[in-house]
Amino acid sequence: MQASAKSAPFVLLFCVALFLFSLTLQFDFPHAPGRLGPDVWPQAILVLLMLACAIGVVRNFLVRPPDEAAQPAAWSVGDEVEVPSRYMLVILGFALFLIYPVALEYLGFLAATFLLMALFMWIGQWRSPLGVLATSAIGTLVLFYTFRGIVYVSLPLGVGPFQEWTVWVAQLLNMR
Amino acid sequence: MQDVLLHLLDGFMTVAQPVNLFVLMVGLVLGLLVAVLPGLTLVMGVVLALPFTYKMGITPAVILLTAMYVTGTYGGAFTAILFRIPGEPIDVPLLWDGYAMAKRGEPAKALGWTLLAALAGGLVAAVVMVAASEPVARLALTFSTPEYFSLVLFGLASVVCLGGGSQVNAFVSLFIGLLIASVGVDGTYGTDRFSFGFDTLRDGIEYLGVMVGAYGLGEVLLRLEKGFTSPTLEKLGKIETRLPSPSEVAAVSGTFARSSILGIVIGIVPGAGATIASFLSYGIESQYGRRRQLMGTGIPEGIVAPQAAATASVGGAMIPLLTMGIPGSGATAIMLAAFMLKGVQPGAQVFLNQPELIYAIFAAVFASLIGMALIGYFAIKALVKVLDLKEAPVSAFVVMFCFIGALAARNNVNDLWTIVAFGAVGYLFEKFRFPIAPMVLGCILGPLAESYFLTSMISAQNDWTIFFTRPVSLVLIVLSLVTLLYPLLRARREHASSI
Repeated sequence: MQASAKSAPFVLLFCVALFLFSLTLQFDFPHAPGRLGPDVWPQAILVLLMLACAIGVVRNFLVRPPDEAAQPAAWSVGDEVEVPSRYMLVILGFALFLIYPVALEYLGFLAATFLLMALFMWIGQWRSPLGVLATSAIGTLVLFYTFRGIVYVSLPLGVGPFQEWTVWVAQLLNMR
Repeated sequence: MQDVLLHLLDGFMTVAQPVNLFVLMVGLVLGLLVAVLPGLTLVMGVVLALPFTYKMGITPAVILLTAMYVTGTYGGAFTAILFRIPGEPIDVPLLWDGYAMAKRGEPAKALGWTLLAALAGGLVAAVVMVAASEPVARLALTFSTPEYFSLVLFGLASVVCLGGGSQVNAFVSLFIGLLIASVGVDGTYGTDRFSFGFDTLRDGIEYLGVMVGAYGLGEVLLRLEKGFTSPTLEKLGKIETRLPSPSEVAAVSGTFARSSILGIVIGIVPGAGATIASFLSYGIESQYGRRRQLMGTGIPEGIVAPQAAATASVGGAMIPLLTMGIPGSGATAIMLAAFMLKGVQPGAQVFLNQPELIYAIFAAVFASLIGMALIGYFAIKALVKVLDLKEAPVSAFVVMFCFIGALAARNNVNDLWTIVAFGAVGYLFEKFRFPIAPMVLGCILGPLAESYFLTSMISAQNDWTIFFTRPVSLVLIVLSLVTLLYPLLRARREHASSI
């Protein structure tokens, strides 16, 4: 990796730390003489973070990186096959994670979980429609029964027809 | 001593109660399963089990997590040795000699060495844990905030330096963790820090959310990037374990002793865990062992060293958790969360005032080791079959356990955003080679460090020399400095010798 590319996270973090440091100067609290305020601790951490980022950047530009090909990775298992990265799968998977909390509130646990599991398995390259649907349906019901019926976690019911449906399934499974 | 044994006997009686025994068995099997599956790590498994403990009493809850923790350091050895699939990072050193021994036609013997190493290392550490905890708890009672601050500092220094990889990256990760811990309304002044008007952030960021997100969702995203292409078993042949003879064991007794002691010490150091113990122990055996030239060719020392140290680290990590309330590893951090969810803050007071709870945990460690050995010897073939499962559905369930775990902690849907955000952070950290452990430990120990620091400064009228004028605090600060400087000095020496 290029030194500039390797330094990008450090530069970004340095800027964020600088911005947060400026916020600590505006913390509103009653100043008591001889007592440290709530700004001191985050300020100390932010200064250290900026320092570490600066060292990271300097290291990337000034220090010659070791020959990565010549050095085995710390956790190398030997002759493993390199699998190409598929970033589109990551983006799709992460998009599902982002949608789930929203879907949970409107669709309720049953519908949202069924959809998340089914879509996630499909994105995860499991190309068996029957397997995906059956696993999602059974998995959702098992999770619903386990956490609502046994562990008593208050799982979201959803709104409108989804709420009615969730309550109906709960009654069907002999849950409160 | 007699008191300790009587308490321990009481502890065994508690563990033998039907509910606790059932929970222990479940924990043993789950611990082995998460260790066997390459997509699930030991810490992740303990994280995923946490929501199941919400409605349990504190004793069965901690017994469940303890059993998972103990067996989680062992189960992955089977897939590492037999199929060259390390279920855990802990198991990677086992590939070098364990798999080599199996390939030479002695898989049963390699598994036998692993079983014996895990059992011996675990039992030695459990005995040390029982013997040392009470004196440490009494010593901890004499500590004041400067000592506690220095102890936390030592833990933070250790996690940076023992983790391997780039120290600068580890520092960045640690400072991010400490910063995350400072988000929310400050407890002393009521000042809003970095909440940007969001109510969720005003309550602070729970370290549980950070752990579940970074370890759980982050790991799932990493595996999804590879299209869930974990190796699966093509053929499940004959799997059996053959224990080595007493004379063979005697020949490597030094390795057993060294690795067990190292595992205990690494476990006690806040921040270091089984993975570090495993790698470090293998490294020491490769450098100083009697047959160091043969390491990597399939010799027993290469199996015993990492396995004994990994399992021994469990007993070691329990000591700071139960006597001072400071987690020594990722798994004990989850156990700390389990304690706190039940309204119990582990530490010297709990140790001395609720011995029945503490000794039940000690007894659970012993019982888990025995159970682990029995399952490992007789029933592992059935457990290894989980490798036949497709990774996509397993990961879908992992994702769901992450979400439900985060939801169940406070019944707040907003907490899901925390784990989603830290899922992305965990993924990016791995991509840019920033270690996750320092960030997580920073989140856990950050509030303690800040509180101890500010209280010390108030009591000393802002005289910072308070940390250097108290002997225990001074020793811990010196140790922290040595821990921080040692890798730099070593790198300098290696650089000089290479010229």
